[in-house]
Amino acid sequence: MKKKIVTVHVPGNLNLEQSQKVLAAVLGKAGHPHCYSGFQLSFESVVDPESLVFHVDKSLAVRGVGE
Amino acid sequence: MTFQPPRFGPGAVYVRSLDDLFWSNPDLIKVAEIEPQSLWTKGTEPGSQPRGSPVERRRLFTLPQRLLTHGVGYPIGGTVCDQERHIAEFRLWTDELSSAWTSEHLSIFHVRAADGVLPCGFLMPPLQTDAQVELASDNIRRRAATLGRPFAFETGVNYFLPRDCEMPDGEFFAAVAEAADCGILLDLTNLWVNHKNGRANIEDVIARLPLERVWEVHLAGIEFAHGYWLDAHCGAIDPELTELAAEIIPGLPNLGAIIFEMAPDRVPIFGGKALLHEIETLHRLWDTTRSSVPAAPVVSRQHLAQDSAPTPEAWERWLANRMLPPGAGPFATGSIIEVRGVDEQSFTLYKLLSGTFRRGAIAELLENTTRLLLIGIGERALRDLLDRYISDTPPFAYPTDEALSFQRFLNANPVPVPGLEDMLKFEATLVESAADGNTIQATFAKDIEVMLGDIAAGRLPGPSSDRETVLEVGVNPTPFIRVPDKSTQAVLPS
Repeated sequence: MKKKIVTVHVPGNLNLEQSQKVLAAVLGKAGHPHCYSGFQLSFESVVDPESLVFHVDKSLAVRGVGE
Repeated sequence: MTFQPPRFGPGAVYVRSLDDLFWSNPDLIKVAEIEPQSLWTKGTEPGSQPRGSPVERRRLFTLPQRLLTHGVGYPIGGTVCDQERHIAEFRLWTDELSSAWTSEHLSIFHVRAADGVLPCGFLMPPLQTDAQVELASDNIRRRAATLGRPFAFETGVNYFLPRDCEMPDGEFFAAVAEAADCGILLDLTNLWVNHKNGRANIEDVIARLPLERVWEVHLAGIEFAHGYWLDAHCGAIDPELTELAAEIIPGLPNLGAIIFEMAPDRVPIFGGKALLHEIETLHRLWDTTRSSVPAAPVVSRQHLAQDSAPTPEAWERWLANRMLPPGAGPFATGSIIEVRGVDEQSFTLYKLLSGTFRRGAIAELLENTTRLLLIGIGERALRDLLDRYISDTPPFAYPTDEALSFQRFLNANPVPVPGLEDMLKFEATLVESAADGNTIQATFAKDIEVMLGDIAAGRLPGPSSDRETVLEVGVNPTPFIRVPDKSTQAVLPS
């Protein structure tokens, strides 16, 4: 029996919206950190969005950063 | 010194997330300070050089502000001071953005370690001695010559208390500026933090500076944590510092720009509107420069016995031994530098701050891996895991290298979480592709889209994600993720 090779193309048009967003985030944050300064909060914002870092003003009033 | 900077006015450090704000407020934001390295990517191969996007550079050139470049990766305070490898790219950005002058930090970042040169994880202060003045001024002269631009160094934050062998801060800055014949980027927030932490009285520092050399001022928000005031770039300028700046700035006869600094991770918290409010404050300060008063005479130098001061090399070995993981440091310091009790506290802070940048790089570039670990093992175990990673491995300058280092660490120290291997591989593939500009094809045992949905919902990936997936990732030049055309050869009977 003779054999015949058939090539089937599956187009890459699946919905990869979330993956694209992850790639965009990586591209936007691949650079060297800006001036090293105080705390970098990115990890805290992933783990605990209610950040543990507080601002203390000159009257020693304590509040969450950005409040 | 013949350079007199043009009067640009108030502005802010450019961060990508604030791009719209720069475009829509040219009347308020007069200057965009570009930190080129923050916009570059670095390849993953050892020795590869960071590079910027010509498209982004050309777009930045069309911003409605005057542009200044400010270096953040290659400070001029140490014995390891790159004057070659990154210079061509930095010069290209400085030239094409028509930066009237450029600047970098008077700090130490790269140090010699057991296996070569490593970044130490944070901008560290030099020891303020005559030998250090000579070293820094030589570095500045070479940097200015290779960049072909007027150059200013930034006065740094210093979380150590002064040592007996050091000259006072203002005297040190003045000596470097005079020896290098360069400008000064007067970071008033750094000096304010040093003042509040008890290192140096800010008025004493200012009194010793050659104020005609101050071309630029930086201002930013500070915060208090772990017993120290931090130059955190976190929000509004301390009102007390604003009052002080209003007294200092009229005495700066050659001031070209006042720049507000905001760390990118604080932008979502602080917000664009609040940032514009700070720029309004800068305008009020800038207005006082129109009636500049003659600079006050510089306070004469103190004479200090520095014969027994550690050399810059010994100081850097001392820093490296404390900042790098055990076994990575250079070990022998060459001279004995006393570790005071207060130094232990300072090192604890520096390592803590360095750790936040390292964890931040992982959380930003491997965000879903981090979230999956959080779901799988909990916050405490995740923090312990990252602490172990940070204590066992040296830091990296670029977050892409840090993320891939963490991938290697996890591969060598597997954590039993469903889907972790695939999500880590997926995100590391994105990082690698972004860093190298290559197209990479990878096979996963799970459906990445389904996994991303599970993680976003706060649950571990279930059986519904068990499906082999082949993805192609590239940024060449347009970023994409796609399922590659799959040519399946089926053998059929004729």
